[in-house]
Amino acid sequence: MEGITNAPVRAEPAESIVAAEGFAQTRRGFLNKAAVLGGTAFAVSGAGVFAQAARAQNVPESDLEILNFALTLEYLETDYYERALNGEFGRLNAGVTRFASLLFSHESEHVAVLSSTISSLGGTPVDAPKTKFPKLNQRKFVRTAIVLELTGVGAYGGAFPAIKTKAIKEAALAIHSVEARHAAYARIVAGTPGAKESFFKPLTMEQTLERAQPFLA
Amino acid sequence: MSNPITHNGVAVETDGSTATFMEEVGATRADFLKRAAIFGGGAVATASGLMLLPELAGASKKSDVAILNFALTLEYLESDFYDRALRRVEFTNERAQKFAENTAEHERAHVEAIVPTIEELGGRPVEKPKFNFGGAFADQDTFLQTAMALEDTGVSAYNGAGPALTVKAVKEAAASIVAVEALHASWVRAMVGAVPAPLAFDEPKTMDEVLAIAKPFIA
Repeated sequence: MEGITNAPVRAEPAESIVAAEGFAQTRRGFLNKAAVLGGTAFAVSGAGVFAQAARAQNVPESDLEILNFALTLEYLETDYYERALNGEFGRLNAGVTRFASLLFSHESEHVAVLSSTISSLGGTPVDAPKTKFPKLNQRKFVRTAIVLELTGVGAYGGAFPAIKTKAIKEAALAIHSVEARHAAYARIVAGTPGAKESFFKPLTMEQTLERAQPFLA
Repeated sequence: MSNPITHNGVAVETDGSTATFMEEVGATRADFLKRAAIFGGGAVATASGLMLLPELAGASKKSDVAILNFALTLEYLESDFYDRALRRVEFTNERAQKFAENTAEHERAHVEAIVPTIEELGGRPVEKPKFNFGGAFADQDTFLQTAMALEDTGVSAYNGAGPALTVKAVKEAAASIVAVEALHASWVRAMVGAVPAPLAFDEPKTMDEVLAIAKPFIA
């Protein structure tokens, strides 16, 4: 029976922050917001670390490859939540919609910032991959979100030690922990504990691709 | 019966079926050390620590030791905080207690992994400070609010210090720990009704900023 209730421990208006920051919105809403912010990725809150990454000098090709690898994953995640918000996985209840909206918003920001950073550094951002997802209902949507987010955490954790440029290390860590927050959030929405493990196992690029492969068309 | 906690945004269903994947992805301490052994090819093994390359330059070892001692201080703080919470907080909700139990275990494991790592790098681990958490255990809510502040600080501390690390195995270890701190932060935020992931990019903090936050708890 555990997990079906919605009650936070504290009976405070828990949705207020989400609502106030406009997270419960459609893609169009997000893009409008981005436009209001001036269309530059660096106007996005918290992206200061990327502003520095974009100005980095002598960035080796291997760092650009890591950024493009991350961009592919972020595209995949963004696409997944966009489909969910478009109703592809059936009707989502209010809490799951809020979850999908928040993650869509974050992953879209990751895509925008990674792309512009790669361009600023003289690289060529990869195109969005073609994706495919099985037929999912709300419950499976949340469970697959756990898988995707855990994969994201493992991917950034695995890539971090190989990054050479300090500003790019900072930027990667700033996303890495957000992916972990998403993973715990997904677990909680699924009614399971947010953290079971003492150490989070990193993934190699190959392991990451293996996990992402079923969703790439 | 106490209220089970989920994110206030409604839990979907609980059948425990995510456990397999979680177990697969999540690492136990034994896994972690075994993996470190695989990654640290040609390095010195010990029963309890990470695998480190023996030919490291002294300077880089030294700066990593300083960062690890900073991390150890924070982990001691967190570990002590949850150990005391388990003894002193009157939990009114079993999920809040579960959070405290899991997190206590994780923070203890972090301390136990960092101490021998510092020693392997030729450094001396800092002593465990004496802590004073004031009225943080007065009730479950106060405990959770304090836990939220500590976990968010832990995330920003590792994110701020991580880029300066030089030893590959230490970088890996830091990443595998900060991810868990972020899981904790998100979990406890959901429990108090805050947004689990408030920003698209977590803000790093400098050591000085983190120490200023931790200082009130150090007796």
